[in-house]
Amino acid sequence: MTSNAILQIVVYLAVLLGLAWPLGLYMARVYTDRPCGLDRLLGPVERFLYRLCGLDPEKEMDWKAYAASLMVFTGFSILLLYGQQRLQGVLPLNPDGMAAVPPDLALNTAVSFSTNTNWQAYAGESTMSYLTQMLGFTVHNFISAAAGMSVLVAFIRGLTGRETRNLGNFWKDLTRSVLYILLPLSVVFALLFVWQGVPQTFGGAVTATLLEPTPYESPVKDAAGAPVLDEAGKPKTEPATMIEQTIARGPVASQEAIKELGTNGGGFFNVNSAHPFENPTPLTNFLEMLAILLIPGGLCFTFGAMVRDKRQGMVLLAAMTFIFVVMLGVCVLSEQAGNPQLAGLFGLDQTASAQSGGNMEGKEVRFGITGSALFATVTTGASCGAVNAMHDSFTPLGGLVPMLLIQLGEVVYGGTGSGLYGMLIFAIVAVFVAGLMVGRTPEYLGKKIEPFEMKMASLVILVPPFLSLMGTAVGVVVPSAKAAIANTGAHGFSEILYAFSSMSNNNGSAFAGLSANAVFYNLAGALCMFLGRFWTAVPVLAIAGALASKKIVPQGAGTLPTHTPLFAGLLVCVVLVVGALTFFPALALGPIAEHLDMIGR
Amino acid sequence: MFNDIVFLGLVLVAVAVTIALAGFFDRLRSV
Repeated sequence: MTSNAILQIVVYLAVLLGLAWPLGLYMARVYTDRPCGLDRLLGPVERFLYRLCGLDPEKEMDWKAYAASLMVFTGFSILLLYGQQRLQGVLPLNPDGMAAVPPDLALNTAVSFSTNTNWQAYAGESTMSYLTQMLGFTVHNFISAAAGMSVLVAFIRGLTGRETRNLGNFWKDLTRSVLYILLPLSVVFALLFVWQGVPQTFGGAVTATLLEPTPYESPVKDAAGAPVLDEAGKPKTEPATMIEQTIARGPVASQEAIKELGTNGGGFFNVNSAHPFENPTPLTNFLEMLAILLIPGGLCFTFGAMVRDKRQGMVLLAAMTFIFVVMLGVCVLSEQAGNPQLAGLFGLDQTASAQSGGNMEGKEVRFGITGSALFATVTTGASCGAVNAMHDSFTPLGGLVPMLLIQLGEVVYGGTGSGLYGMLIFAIVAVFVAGLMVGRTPEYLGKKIEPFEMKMASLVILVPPFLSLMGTAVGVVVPSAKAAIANTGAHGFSEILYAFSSMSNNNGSAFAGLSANAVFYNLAGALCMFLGRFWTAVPVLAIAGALASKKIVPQGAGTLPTHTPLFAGLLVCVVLVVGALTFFPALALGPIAEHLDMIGR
Repeated sequence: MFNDIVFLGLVLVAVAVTIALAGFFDRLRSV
């Protein structure tokens, strides 16, 4: 690994952890109703919102009421976003005259943004109006992230509660997450992005005259717009000259900020953060990566503060950081090594100091190998899904890293809220495994782990892999699904496996190379995203309800300490073993087979 | 329009089934 790469990674982690600590303590104050500074400014707004909606924020909910509120809220969110896309042609803020989104794509996109997935089967700049992008997607970026944070906070209350049914109030947690955490941070990041050159305008696309007219072959179409074929059955073309270019723009910066902070990932443009208007400079690249993991990292400190034992949060953070660094190392080294076949075929020196070095296919020169590999690891460790490089063009092992991070359940550091509650489920499994292995009492933070909690934890861990693998299995036999992949063999398999892993784990990034806007992917994907989000969140809340009703038992000689490096190691092993055992056969057919094919030729 | 009705109906069914799932989990706990 080059010294430049090491420096970039060290600086990134230092800034991330340095900022996550105070943010985490601030978020703990927000969720425990203690003065946080911004409450003086935003308190009246918060109280006004409760009055407007007729809500009693002090009314406590048990886990079923909390789950029902989450589901009712999400159901309305999906319906609203679906309707907005279908009606965008007659709604305002549509300067480029975008037509209604087709039904299957609108359903996929509505579920995608309401589940914090942000899988995009469309090109934003040529499909969605400004109103859809702002009032639809950007708003859903806030509320879907806040919903995940609310479930986490309810789970923590379940761990800290003593013989109670109460987990807090969903509407209050949702409102405070948006108002005191996501909104202020988004304003700061959006202004930083504007400063760096990211557009924020209601003006429509602009047309630029090219300095050098470019000749090209234009397809001939009949009166109905269908391509005309020649005698050989190939599309007819005619010479043409391009003299103008349409440059899409819009309210990008505001969407960009929450896209990263809420680990949403849905880009304004089709190529997401690889687009120079979304991510124009190395500094914006750094800020975007920082924004993705800032809240998930900070929530570990929030957890430590809320359970009144900072060491518990630090252990989770240490386990996440260890897996993150190992995965990042594999990705950076694989990309820096490049493809040996290219060196053999063309004598191309991919490690020359005169260029970025390594495998630069599908990457932006302004980010280079490290900036791209780090972004890929960050965005898939979280449930973000934003990309600044095409993961499809990574080397097989470099591409395996983002895929595996998604398949591990996105617990490194994970999505806003969902990452930490996923890791806490692994922690519960870890204490249970320790109980089986060395006869320790299965307890976590003084709460006994019993069969019901283990059944629910098993569901949380098994639902996403089931959806990922079954979706892939169906995808490789359905003709319309196979027709959507750009490559054959192991790489084509990887494209389908990545797509279903991404949707089922609510990541949203695409491997690329897959024409995802097809009825099969739109409908199967919507199902996977919905079940992957809520058939895990509901069992998590069920565990929270069960734990809250229990006594906190004092630590005894048989209690496994969960604040030690030993437990962090056990947790890492549980996460990796569960992920490896579940997905190794599928990975062997995809990226591992491709890697062996590459080095064995 | 037909597709719209079908898809919106599916969303409502999915939400209702998930809420029912919570009820099932609650009963499972008391068993």
